[in-house]
Amino acid sequence: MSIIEKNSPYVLGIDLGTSNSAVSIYRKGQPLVIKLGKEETIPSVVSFRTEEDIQVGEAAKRRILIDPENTVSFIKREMGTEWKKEFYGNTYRPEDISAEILSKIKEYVINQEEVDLKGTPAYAVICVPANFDDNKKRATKEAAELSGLTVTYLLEEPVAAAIAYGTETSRSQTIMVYDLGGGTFDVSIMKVDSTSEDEPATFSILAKEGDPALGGYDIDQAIMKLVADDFKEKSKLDLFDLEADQGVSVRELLEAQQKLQEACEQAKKELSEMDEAAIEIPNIIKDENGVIHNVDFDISRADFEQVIEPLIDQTINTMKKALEQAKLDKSDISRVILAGGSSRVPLVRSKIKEMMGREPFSNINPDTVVAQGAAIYGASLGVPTDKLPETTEQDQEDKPDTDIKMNNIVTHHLGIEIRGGRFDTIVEKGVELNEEQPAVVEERLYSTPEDGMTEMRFTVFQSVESVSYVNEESSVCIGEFFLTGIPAAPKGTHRIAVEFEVNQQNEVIVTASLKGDKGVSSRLAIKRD
Amino acid sequence: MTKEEVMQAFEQTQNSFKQKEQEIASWKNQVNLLEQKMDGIVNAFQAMYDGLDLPADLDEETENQLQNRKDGIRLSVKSASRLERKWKDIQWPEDFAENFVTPEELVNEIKANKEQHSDKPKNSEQAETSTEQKQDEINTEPAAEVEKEETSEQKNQAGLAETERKSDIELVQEKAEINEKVLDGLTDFTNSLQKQFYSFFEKAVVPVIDGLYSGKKFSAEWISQLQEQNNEENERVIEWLDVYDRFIQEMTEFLETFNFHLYEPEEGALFDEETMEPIGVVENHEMEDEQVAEIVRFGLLSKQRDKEEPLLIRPAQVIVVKNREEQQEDTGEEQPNESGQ
Repeated sequence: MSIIEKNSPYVLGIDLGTSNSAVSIYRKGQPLVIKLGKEETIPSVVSFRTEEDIQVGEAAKRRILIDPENTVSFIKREMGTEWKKEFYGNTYRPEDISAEILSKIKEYVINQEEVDLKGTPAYAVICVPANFDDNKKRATKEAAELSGLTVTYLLEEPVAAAIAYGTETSRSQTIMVYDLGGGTFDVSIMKVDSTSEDEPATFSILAKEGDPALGGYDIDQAIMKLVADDFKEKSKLDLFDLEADQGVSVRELLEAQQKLQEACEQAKKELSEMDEAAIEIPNIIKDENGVIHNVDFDISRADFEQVIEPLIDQTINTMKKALEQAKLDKSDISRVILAGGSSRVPLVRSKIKEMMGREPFSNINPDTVVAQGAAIYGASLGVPTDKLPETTEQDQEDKPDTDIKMNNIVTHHLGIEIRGGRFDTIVEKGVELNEEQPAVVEERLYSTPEDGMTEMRFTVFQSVESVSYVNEESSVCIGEFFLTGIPAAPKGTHRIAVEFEVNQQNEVIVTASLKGDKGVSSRLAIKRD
Repeated sequence: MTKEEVMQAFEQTQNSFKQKEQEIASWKNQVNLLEQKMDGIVNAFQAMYDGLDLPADLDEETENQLQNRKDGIRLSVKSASRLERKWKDIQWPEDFAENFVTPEELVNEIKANKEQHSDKPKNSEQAETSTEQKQDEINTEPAAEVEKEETSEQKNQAGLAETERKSDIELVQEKAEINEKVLDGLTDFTNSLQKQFYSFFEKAVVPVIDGLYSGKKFSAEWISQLQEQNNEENERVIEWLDVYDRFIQEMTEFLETFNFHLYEPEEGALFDEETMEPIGVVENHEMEDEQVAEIVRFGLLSKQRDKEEPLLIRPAQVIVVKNREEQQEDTGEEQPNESGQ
C-alpha cells in the first residue's frame, strides 16, 4: 500500500516577476519570505543545456551571454502571445518557460528547512501586473498548473503590495502604490475598507497608471554616464564606444564597462544611506600607450539626485495622472507605499513627500513586498473547500486575523470589431465592480450590413488604451463567435443586440441576439483569470 | 497539542536559546576581531605604500610607467582606508534575555498562578471538572516536568481551580510561544548580521583586491617584455612590480582570518555556471566551446562551519570561448564578440 502525502495547508504567495521572482508563506501572523538559495529572489531566467538539463535562476542567467540561443529571459513580456521556441526538439510556449520558473520556486520551498510545510505545496496566489490582459492571465494560470500548483487567485501586484501594508492596520484608507522595478514603473490607487476587526477588509482598485519603459535600469545608466563622461575627459577613452578605434579591444572595453557598472550599482546603494560615495576602480583599463587608467570619482547625493531628477519627475507625473483617473485629490490618499527595488533611492521618497505632503511607507523590503502580500491574501482565501480532505489541517496561528475581500474595476476597454476594422467600445475601462454592483452590463444595437445575410461574425477585443481601430498596438483579440440562423432580408432590416457583461470573477460574457426572435441568439463566455 | 508535546516545545526553546546565545557571542568575537583587523590592514597598507619608493636612476619612460602603477596602488590604499567607514555599527540585542522565560521563571509563574487562585471559593460544579483537564496540571518542581501519576485527591484539588485559572499546560504553551517569538527575533538578527558580513567582504573588501589584481595582470604583460631584455635595471623594475603580490597577500590573509577564500579557476577549465559568470565571449579555435579563455576577476568563497562545501559569495568573472561553426577553418586568431551583458 502506498502512502500519499497530503497537500500543504500553506498557500504560496508568488511574485513571478519580469526580472526576478520571490515566494512567501503566511506563518505565525507574518508573511515569511522563503530563501531561494542564498538570496530572497531568483532571476526569472531559464536555460536549456540538454533536453533534460534545464537550469533556472542565477545559473541560467549566467548562460545568457554564452548560450543566448538556449536561454530565455523576460518571458513575462511574452505571456499570452504566440511566442514559441524549440529547444532540443521540444517546443516551448511562454507558459512552459514560466512553468519551469515556478517549478524551481516550488522545489526551493519543498527543500527549505525553516518551516514544516505539513505536506506538498499545491496552492498559490500568483501576482500579475495591473495591466495584464486576459490572455496573459490565462497563460500565467496554465504555467502554474504545469508546475503542479493550483492558482487560488491571480492577484494584481500593487494590490499585493497594499495588502502587505494594509493588513498592518485595521482602519479604512486609500492607498497609493508606487512600484519602481528594474524596467517598469506602475502606480495604483486603491481603497481599503475595514469597518471593524470582525469584518473582512475590502480592497478596491480605483486607478492604475504606468510607464512600461522607465525603471531602475535608467537610474543606473544615468549614474554610469556621469562617471564615464568624467573618465573620458581625463583619459580620452570612451568606455561605451565599441565602434571607434581607441586603441583598445572591445573585450577590454566590455570588461571595463562591467567593472564600472558594478561600482556604480554599489555607489547607488551607498548613496541611499550616506551623503556621498566614492567610485574607485584602480587599473580599470590600459590605453594604447601603455598608460593604466583609474576611475576615482567622488559623488555626492546632490550630484546623483541632479542626474536622476528628470526620471523621478516622470514618475511623479504618472502619480498625478493616477490621481486624476481616480478623481481624487492628494489629500484623499492616506498613505503611499513603495514597492520595487529601485524605490529605495532617497530622492523617490523626498519627491513623493514634496508632492503628497507626507512620507511614503517603506519599511517592508520592496523586493519581496509583493510576494508577502500574496502570501497574506493566499492565507486569507485558504485552500479551496473541496480540497480540504486532501490537505493537512492548518494551525490557527497561521491564519490571518482579518479576511480580505477583493473589489475590482474593469481593467480594459471592451468592444467588438465593426466595419472598417474599427474598435467599437461597449464597456469602458475603469467601471467599478463591488458588492453593490458586482457586474456591469452594457448593450448596443447593430444592423445586418449586407443583403441576405444569415450569419454574422463577432470578434471581441480589449484594450488598455482608448483606441479607434482594432489593429492598434494596445488592442488584443480575446474571442470570436458567430450568430447564425438570421432570416435572409435586405441589409439594415434586422436589429442585432450585442450585450457585454463583466462580473467580479473577471468573466466577460458576450451575447448577440436577433431583436424580436429569442431563438436566434449566440453567447461567448470568456474567462478572465 | 498533547501535554508531552507542549513540554517538549518549551524544552526545545531552552536548547535553542542556549545555541542562539553561543551564536551571538561568537558573532561578537567575530565583529571585534574584524574591527581590530580592519585597523591593522589599513595601517599595513599605508605603511607599505609609504615605503614604496621607486627604484633610483631609471630612464624617464620607465619611471613614468612605474609612477603610473604607483598611482593605481595609491587608489587601492585609499579604498582600503575607507573600509572602517563602510562597516555599519551593530546594534546588539542586549535585552533579548529579559523577555525569554526560563524553566525557573516558568515554575514561579505556575506557583503564582496556583496561589492566586487557591483562595477562591470552590463550588461543586468546578469539582466536576473532567479527568482530562486535570491531567493538564503540572508539577511545580524546577524541572517543570508533567506530573505523570497524581493521586485522586491531587487530581480533585487541581481540577477545582481549573475553570478559574489557566491550566498549567496552557501556561507552559503560552510561555513556549513567547520564547519562540524571542528566538525568531534573534534568528532575524543573526541572519541580517550574516548578510551584512558577507556583503561587506564582497562589496567593500574584495574590490580592493580586484583593483590590485587588475594592476598585477597589466604588469605581468610588462614583466614578460622586460624579461626578454635581460638587464640589471629591468630586474629592479620586475622586483618593484612584485609589490602587487605583497598587497594581495596582506589582504588575502585578512580574508582568511574570517574564513573567506579567493576562487580563481584555471584558464582552460570548462565554464561552470554555478561558480562562474561570463562577461564576454571570444572565438579561439585552439580551444573548445565553453572553455574559459581568461579570468577577469576571481570569485569569493566562504568556508562554513559544519559544512564541507564552501558557500559561493560571488562567482569568478570569466571570458568564455564560443567558436562560430562557419569559421572553424579560420587561422584561430582571437576575435572578441561584441555582445556585452
